[in-house]
Amino acid sequence: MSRRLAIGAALAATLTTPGWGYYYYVHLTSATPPYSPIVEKFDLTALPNKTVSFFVSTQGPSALAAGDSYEAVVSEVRAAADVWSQVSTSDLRLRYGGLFNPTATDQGATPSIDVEFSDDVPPGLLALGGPSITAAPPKGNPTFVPITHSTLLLWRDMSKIPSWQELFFTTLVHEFGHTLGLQHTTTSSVMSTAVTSGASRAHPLAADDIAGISLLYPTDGFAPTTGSISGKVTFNDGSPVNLASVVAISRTGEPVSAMTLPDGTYEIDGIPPGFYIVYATALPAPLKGEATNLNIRYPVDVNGNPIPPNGFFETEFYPGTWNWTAAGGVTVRAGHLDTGLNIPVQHRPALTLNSVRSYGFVPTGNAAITPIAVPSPPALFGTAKQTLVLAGAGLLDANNNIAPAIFIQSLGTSLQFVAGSLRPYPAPNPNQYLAVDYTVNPTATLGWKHLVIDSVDNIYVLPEALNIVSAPPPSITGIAVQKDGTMAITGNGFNEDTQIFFDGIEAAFVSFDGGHTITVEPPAARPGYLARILALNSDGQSSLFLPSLTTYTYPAGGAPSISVAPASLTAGADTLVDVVGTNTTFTDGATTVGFGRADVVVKSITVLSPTHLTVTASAPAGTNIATSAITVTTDLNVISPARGQ
Amino acid sequence: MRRYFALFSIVALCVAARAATLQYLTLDQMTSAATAIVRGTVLGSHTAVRGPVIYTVYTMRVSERLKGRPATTIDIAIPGGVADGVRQTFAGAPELATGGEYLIFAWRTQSGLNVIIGLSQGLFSVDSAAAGSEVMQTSTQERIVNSSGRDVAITPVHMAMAQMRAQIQRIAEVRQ
Repeated sequence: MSRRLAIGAALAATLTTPGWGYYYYVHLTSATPPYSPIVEKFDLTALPNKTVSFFVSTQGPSALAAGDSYEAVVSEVRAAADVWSQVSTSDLRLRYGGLFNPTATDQGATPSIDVEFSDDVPPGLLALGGPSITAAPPKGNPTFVPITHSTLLLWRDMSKIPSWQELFFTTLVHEFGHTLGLQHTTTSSVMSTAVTSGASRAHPLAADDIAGISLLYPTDGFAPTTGSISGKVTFNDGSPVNLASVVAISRTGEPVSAMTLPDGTYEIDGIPPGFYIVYATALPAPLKGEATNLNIRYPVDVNGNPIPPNGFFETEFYPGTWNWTAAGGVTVRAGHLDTGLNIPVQHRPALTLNSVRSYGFVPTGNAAITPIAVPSPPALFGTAKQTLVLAGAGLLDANNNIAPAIFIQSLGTSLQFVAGSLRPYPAPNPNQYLAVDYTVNPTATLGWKHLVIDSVDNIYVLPEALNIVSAPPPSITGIAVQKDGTMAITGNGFNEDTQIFFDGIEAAFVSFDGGHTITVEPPAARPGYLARILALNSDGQSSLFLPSLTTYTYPAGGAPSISVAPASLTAGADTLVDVVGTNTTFTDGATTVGFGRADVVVKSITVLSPTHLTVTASAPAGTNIATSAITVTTDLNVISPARGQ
Repeated sequence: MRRYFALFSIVALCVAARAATLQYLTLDQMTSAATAIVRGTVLGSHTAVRGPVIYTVYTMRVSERLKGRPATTIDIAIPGGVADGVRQTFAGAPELATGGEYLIFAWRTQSGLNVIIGLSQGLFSVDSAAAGSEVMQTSTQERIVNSSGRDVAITPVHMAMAQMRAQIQRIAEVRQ
């Protein structure tokens, strides 16, 4: 059994050409229909091995939470990048290129992603990410606009943002998505905005994220095993709707979406085969001080001028109904395009109901454990009655009473809401939440379920509001280091898919006793390193759902360091670099080497012993790159002469 | 005294967007953290580059300064823009309208830029047409969390300018 995240397994196929769909940074190459949208993305042909390198600044956080460390932060950055790199239906790979010096004036011209900790990030802002392109409008007939560089900025003061929190990880995944060319969607995926996000450490990407990155950087096999639908969204006067979000959603699976072009047309590609219903919804309004609806950058015309949405409308299921049970469906077939799914919509002056988010308390099965409220919560199959909490604009009126005609139903038959149970929820902030009780129907299938919320003048579809699970989240109750150096992790809720992480590094699996113990090989780390141990299950739950946190302190010892020869890389040729370590644990397959620049290609690493390795690296002509820029990373152990090691 | 009233769009701020991720700051916290709190009108903009980031820098004519050194103008930097032939995009960064009037809680970075606290949390639009003027905190689609990293729902601040002025002065006095 593969212990690797099997991201994209359900989408194991590709389009032959980069497809429309999802939502990217869009440029329109014609002023009138038919539009030919082109998008911003990395040029894989300009990247070694179709791999974009990312680097972490040597100038790390100025302050860290108690017990946190620079190495832990780096490991979480690597783990977040791995989420995108492991999408099997995307050709793009991300490579950790080590640390980089942010003050260096010459970083090379090869496109890359820099992760920096910035003093310029003001209080109240945790992270920012985005791509850079050449400012001049595309000329000729380009098929895309190449990203020349991307930046991911983190707050330098991380004293209140422990790197092991769900928040830090999902934020990194989201920001990396922006750096790769993805914008926001409305589907509760990690790239979503204005709706609940179902993303978590154990479920970082949803189908919409996978389709988005796979359509941007498709593998040869993507198209044949996914399908497409297309149509047009028009106002009731027949005029086209620009930037409607159109979502293909199934009762038992995750949604995939796209946005309409200025002529109202849309095409959703990369949909896993199956039965779907389709709805169109307007993007939430730009709030004062914001530039755009949904905080996206609108498509720009040939002159670089943005083309904004042209009005609000009520959400409608195809072919034009609020009633999802009356909605027309489409059976998406692999390699096939279903056309003509046109959706007429009614104008609305504003969206009174929007931006709904669901919360719940994790079912632990143990009353002694106080669970943590989490968004898009798990719903334990077989439990008599559970409570869902909702927050959103338009759920309450100006007097903090339940807004008129609010009615909550399941999209599908998995959930039964208890009549009369809708009520204001008092805590933690009065007048901001609604609560409603529900039961899981005995015939329900496991996985993500969606809600439809009715109001007086509109409906709101909340994808991935709940995750029906068959067991409580995994919990770790103890650890024990064995004589052979392996570690026995004991706990509850483990299964054959359970992954054990030490901060951002997955521990090598050794065995599972079928019950309460998983044995792993702890990742390498420097002496005295404090690691957080996490258990992640494939049902989207993790030990982070519970308040207790298991830690392990590595045995004491000498500080690791390295010496490197020769002093510089030979420009325009390969250089064999000899690295001798002190107190190091170089490991074949686990040790990575980088020189902080995307134009330096590490061709091979040969581990001769735990304290000795050689690297063959190629530097471009005309460069003068000191080998002291090297970073040698073995799991959680990051060694860099630039950081005095 | 005019009542500090809640707006209807109560949860627009608790949503899951992370073009930027915001940490919720109270008015007290913003007042304390700000190096300048100014009311002013946007005159124009230019760009600046700091490290890897391109900023659009808005020059504002200051009509009132509630905190910070006196000056007739102030430059407010917002990430994203065009410089040296490169366009950089950070979704979620607000845009200021030339001629628009705002109340801004600014924070001076080590590199000398004045940036808005919390990207948009420290940005208030000013409605001078209202009797006595009102200020309204700009809402955001971005995810907002508390100091424990948990999502929070907050209500945008909407109050009379006079009350805002008094509240800021009260907070400043408490800190002294």
